[in-house]
Amino acid sequence: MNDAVTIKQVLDKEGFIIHKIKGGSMLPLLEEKQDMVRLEAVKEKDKLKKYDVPLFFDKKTGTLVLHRIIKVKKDHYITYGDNRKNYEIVPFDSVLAIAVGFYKKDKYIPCDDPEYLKYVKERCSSIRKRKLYLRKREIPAELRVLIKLFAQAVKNDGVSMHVEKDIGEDFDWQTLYKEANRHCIGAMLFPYVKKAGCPEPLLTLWSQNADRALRKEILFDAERKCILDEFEKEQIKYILLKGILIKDFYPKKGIREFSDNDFLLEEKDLEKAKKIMLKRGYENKDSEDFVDCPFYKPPVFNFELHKALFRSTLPISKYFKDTWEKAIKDENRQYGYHMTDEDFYIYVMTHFYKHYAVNGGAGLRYFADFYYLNKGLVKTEKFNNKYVNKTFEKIGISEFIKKTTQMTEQLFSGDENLFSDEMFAYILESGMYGTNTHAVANKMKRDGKAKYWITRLFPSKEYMAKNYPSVKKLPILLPFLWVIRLVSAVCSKERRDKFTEERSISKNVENKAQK
Amino acid sequence: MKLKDVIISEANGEFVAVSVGGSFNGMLKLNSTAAFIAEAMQEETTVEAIADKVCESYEVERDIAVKSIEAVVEEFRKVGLIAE
Repeated sequence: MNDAVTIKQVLDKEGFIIHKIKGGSMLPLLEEKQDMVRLEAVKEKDKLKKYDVPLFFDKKTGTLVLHRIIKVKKDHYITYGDNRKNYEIVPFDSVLAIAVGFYKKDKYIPCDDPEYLKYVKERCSSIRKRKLYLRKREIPAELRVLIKLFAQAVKNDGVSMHVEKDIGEDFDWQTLYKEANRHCIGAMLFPYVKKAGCPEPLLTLWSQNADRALRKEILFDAERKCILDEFEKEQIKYILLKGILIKDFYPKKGIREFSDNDFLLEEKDLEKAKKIMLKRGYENKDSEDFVDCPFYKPPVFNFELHKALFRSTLPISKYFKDTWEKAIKDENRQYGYHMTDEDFYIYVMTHFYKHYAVNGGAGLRYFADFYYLNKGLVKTEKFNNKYVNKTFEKIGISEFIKKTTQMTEQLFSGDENLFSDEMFAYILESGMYGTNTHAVANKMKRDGKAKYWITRLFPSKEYMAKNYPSVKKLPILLPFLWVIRLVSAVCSKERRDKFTEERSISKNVENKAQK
Repeated sequence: MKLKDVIISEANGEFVAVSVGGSFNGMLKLNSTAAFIAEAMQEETTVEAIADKVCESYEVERDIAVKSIEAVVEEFRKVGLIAE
């Protein structure tokens, strides 16, 4: 209150006061300790306008505040700091003065300056714009650098994304490294982090990871050839899926990180194929379920044999039932087949959608896939865009494709407005393989809360069979096994914590739906 | 002698040697000469036989070729890539 008295006295005597800025609530306009504001006395306190910046006494905090009017009401103003999410209710009689201009690095900027008015329009002219701006500012430097270097690596056109201003003294290279790995783009980024000044010993670790990615691709290429030779001998038809083909659209070997190779086989050949894999020294789990049947072998091998492109429980699966009818025989192999370019692209994008909307999310590497597939496949003369777009509409993912296209353009043109996009924020959070939080939230949105909890507490026989195989032969055991499962969950701290986490997610989903 | 379960691959303008199933979990980056020697060692062979191939393909004196081959072979031996 003493400050208020002093300022009031000066204003009464001089009519104006020039004061240093304290705090960061009006960033980026006003920087603490550096910038100043010229304040003039206000004669008619109830006649201020939207976007004016008054100095007022905030009774709640007992301090003087300099914030911007966003709404004018009958007896008060609603104000926000340019860098704040929360608002204040300011009675007219709390106003002491009004800002008429600012001193930034000793340059005076009056409030009718065109550049200042442009700033007000871009940042402050609606609650939505303010929120978008604030969300953009909240992205940590490490993620900004991740996104920019990723864009630079994918485009590889020699144009720098200028990360120098984002890499300050406090820059956490370890976080950048972890995030790059979480999105499976570490190998791709290595040459760029080297140039950006990544320090040792992290740089050596990063280099080793990039070499490991290349080694993995070479090993997989050789092993896959051996497996396919065996399939040919046994007359097993196969279609190569996803990353095996997408990687060839990338400009260099070893930069598209992956976890496995996928083959589509006909159902009648699955047991024969399984025997081949086991003979080659592979271990197999989930041997009954050939939708995603994984086979593992050291040092790095993970091959999945599929009888369908998507699980039949997913509505999108009905659009992919004729894959074999439309497949084209490979020229150089007797039993190798491939999809048309258009069907392959539709499948890859639907798979991306499935991870994004149905599973736990999808990461940045999908944008690289999308970019390279568009460059090398979609934008070729022969590509039938009409058929592809019609199919996306039938499947119900046209909006998703449109949004992905828009985000890809923004990402690779360096448009920082992307940082405040909700869908992009979800993808950043997800990482390559999604998060449990997203997976649970997606399932709840899809099935509804009631159905979600019923299936969680009383899962299907097929689900229970994974941990209690006896239920396959004796389905009558199912209710008893539910009880055993619930009791053991209550006794396990880990599972109780998981339940608490899912309840919290459930509440968030409900709150978002109500908004 | 021959290389034991080794893949020689060209990647991004470089040659690399990767072991499949051996104790060496790394990757060797090879110059074009070392890659040539490694390819020759995919079948059972000797230093002299490799030297014959090197001298056929490159303009190099035999004793220099033999020394280079022996150095490369030693590097492979150190990381356990050779079946003697």
